[in-house]
Amino acid sequence: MLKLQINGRNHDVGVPDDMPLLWVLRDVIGFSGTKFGCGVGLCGACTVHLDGQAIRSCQTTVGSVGAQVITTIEAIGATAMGHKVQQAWLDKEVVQCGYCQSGQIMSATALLNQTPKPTDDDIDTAMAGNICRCGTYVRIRDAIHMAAA
Amino acid sequence: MSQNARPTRRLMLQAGAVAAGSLMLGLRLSTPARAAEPAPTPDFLPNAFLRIDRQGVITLILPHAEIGQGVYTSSAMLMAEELEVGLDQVSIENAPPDIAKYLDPLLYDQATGGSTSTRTDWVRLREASAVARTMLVMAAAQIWQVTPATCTVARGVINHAASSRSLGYGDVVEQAAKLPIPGDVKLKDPADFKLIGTEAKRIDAPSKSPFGNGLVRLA
Repeated sequence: MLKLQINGRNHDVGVPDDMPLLWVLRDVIGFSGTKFGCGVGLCGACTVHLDGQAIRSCQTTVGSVGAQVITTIEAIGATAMGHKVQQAWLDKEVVQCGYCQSGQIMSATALLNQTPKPTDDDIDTAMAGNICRCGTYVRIRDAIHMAAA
Repeated sequence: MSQNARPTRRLMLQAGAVAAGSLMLGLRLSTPARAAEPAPTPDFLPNAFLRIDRQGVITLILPHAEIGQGVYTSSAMLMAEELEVGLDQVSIENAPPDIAKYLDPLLYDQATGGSTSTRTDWVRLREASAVARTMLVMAAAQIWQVTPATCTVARGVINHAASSRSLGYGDVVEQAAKLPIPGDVKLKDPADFKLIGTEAKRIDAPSKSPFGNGLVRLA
């Protein structure tokens, strides 16, 4: 039995150590807000926070999490910065099809927590691993600036 | 397990038909017991694209897939414009597969693509909505014993200014559903457009925005 702390609650899960954290979140616990995109760490759709750092949950084995605190899209809006980012996302109408947006918001929130006033270059660098097939990049950048203001 | 032990596809289909028949029979048998209750009023369904219920809930039945291109919003704008309702008053339902009703004449299929949605809906949805509005106004005018031309509509409420009377669309659906469908309706002059041409907010955005409250339901 592994003990995980997710979104402020403890979860005991009986899964193999080498199972990707993404599978545990979606299929074992039922937090399906985090998306499965490529499964090989190339698209960013599965981004969650581990002790505040944006990580790819499809490339993180559940056994490597240990006591680190996991935050997913289901709870990011309860944080001050997460709420600002989500509001900016709505105000700027970033979302098109929506599939990548959980990961985009998790990466954007981690960036703003570390760099409160990011430049365009900071944003492009931090968000480079989050792919959007609809091409919402310009609005993502606008929304991050808005949340930083 | 032998092949014969499994139900064949044909058997499954027959079993399904019987089950459906039982359901129909069950409903009929239950009718006498319900006779004392008032009969449910049918919704107003003037065409394949629009349904208005007695509560005034307006549903656009749309044969286009929303995949981020904004078609839920643009098509709802076409409907809201001619129906004289706000964009916030239109909800969207996916049309069922029915090529006779929902053919995209530009694609010659019930499909979404090729930048055809708005070109297809431009006349089709506005006409469907204008027909509905005409019938709803006519229904109110009949109830009030006035001429339809003396009535106006705003946000789904029909008004007769001379007598200070008003009725919501939901209040007249029963009456409207009995009227013949007009064959020829006049569409609005573009100079009178209130919604078309504006930068409306996408109506699908809030339900898709990952707000951590269970709204994220993409599989």
